[in-house]
Amino acid sequence: MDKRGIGLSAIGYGLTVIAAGFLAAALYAVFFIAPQEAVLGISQKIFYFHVGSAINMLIVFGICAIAGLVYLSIGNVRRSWADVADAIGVATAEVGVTLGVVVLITGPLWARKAWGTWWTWEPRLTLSLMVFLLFLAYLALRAFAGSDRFGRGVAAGLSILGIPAVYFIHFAVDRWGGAHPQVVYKGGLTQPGMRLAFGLSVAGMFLLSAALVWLRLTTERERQRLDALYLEVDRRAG
Amino acid sequence: MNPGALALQCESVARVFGRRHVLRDVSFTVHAGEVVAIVGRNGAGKSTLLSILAGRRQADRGSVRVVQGDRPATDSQTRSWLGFLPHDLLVYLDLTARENLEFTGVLHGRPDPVQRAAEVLSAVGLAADADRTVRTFSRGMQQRTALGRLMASGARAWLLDEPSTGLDESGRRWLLQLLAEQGREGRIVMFSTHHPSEVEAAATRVLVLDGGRLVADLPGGAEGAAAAFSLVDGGRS
Amino acid sequence: MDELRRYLAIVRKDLRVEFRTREILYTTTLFALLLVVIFAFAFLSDPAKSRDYGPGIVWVTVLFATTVGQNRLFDRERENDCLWALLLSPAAPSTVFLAKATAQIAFALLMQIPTILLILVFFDLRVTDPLAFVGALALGNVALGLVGTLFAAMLMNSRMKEVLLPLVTYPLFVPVVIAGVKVTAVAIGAPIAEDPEVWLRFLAGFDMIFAVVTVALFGRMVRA
Repeated sequence: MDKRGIGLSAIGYGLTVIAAGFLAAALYAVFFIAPQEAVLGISQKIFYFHVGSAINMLIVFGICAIAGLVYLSIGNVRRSWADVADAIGVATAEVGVTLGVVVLITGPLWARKAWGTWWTWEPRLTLSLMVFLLFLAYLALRAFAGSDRFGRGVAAGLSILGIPAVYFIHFAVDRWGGAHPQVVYKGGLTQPGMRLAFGLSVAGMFLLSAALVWLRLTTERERQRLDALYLEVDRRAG
Repeated sequence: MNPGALALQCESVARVFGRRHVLRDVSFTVHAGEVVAIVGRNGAGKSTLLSILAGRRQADRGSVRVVQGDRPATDSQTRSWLGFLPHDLLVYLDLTARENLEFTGVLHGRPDPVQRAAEVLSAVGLAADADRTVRTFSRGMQQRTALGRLMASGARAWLLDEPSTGLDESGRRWLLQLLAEQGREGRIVMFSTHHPSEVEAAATRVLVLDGGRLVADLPGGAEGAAAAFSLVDGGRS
Repeated sequence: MDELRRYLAIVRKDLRVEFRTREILYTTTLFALLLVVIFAFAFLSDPAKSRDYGPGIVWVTVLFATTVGQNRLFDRERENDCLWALLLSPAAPSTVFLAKATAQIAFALLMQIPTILLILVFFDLRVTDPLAFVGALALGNVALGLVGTLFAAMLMNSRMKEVLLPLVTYPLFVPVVIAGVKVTAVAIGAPIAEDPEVWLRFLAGFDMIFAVVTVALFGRMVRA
């Protein structure tokens, strides 16, 4: 690995360390500073990480869609930009799926305690599930749609369609689910300790996502450069 | 040179498959009236080159341009001027030969597609079978239908991948005559082939591909054909 | 004018091939009818409750049978690489896309007429609001047709297309199914407090936005 590569991974590891710090602080705030919620008790505390993951999953998904837009709109004109956009696309999609797993595990755990059922079609949880499924389809397209490059283009198109889709899914499941109790965060995090814990969790999960995306991105860029080197060798040899 | 004449410019075109090149830095320009044969062994990149020229595939590096005089053609001009006959013939098997040609005429915005289809059908020797679906045709007849598609489209540059596939001996002679005639009428013709006799009969120029590289650009005729095929056969021995 | 002529030529070509071979309409209609029969055996224990699951059966049948047809319509374009005969012609990519989507939607609607009549008969459903009932199906089919055509075209050459197409399109179809089921439920007089107009407008909005985005994406995706 050359100097630039080392520098780039150093940013990733740096981000990881900062994220770890924030997450440790978040854990402390969640368990020792934030007061226990009156009705839900201790189970409410999983909410901080549940929502933190969900928010960041949506952010990461948005970036994936923007990368898809860049890939398809200027990909054929500037191949180097397309490579960057594609690397961002795969990195964000994979991290998004990981965050989705966190959301979909913590959601039912909480639902079990709060409402006595493992799954509830609460609108936000349903939306998270749908976004998660879209991400999985995105990765499936990249893997199975055809030649490498064609699959990437089709997947980029799907990520762009995801933007209006999320809007419509949100509206639909919101009106459809309707009946479930609105959870604490609508009523607000009344206590300052809760707000601190919430802020730290969201920030910590954001930094963790950023670190993971960055590391995955640098790996993908290295892979692209390796491909380019192989091609260069092949070009000179042939 | 005629300022309105068509030219096809291929500039350092490269195409990659995985970590290998299928085409490496291929550059040439073909002018109106030239009939260019592309020769090379299996896997030399002939089909890939033709499909990139036709717009069916994208180049990974380099560019293909269609110019008229000095002006580059717009996208839709490019599509209407280029005609492509690949191995997958681009004709609908569940339509009759006549329907295929009329459909092509409409798609390409030709003035009188019905009349033109009838003319083309007799030119390609399918007048008697015009109203049978292409699925019932032999490969040679399907090939003729596909050639008819090029004629009905009014394309000004023909790109044909091994166009003699499936044709009998007289069909092959007819095809080569047709290609040479298109050149004389001022069209660009590029076709790939494995047969020296086809180069000799029709081509005014020969491009030799080896391992994705353009290794020779020779004049047509008997001498060019001989030189080109000695390169192809001796290329890697 | 030229583009309109091309659009009509492509649609007419698809209709002509279909009425010659009848393969899409015959197979998808039969498939849909069999689905209805299976649903009857699976759900029809208490006829009094048929209004509860009737709307769901309508939409699941529509969704499954339409997806099957969407893959089939592009099998035709895959043979001899014919989609590229269209894309390499002077026709604009959006013309090609809209024509294929039109044919797709037309076949889906034709397949659904007998299917839905059969559902109404088998499950003893009475349509109290025909306008909403038909409106939801029409708008819903446009949505399924646009998104389905886009991805069926892209996945045409994929070995995995039979399973990839629903994998990709169903998450996008969820809001369509939700809206469709709601309107259909109201239209057969199910006792729920829903305003069908909101959902019909929702479907119309979905159609419009996805029409713009899919048309814009098609040409770029197919050449990626």
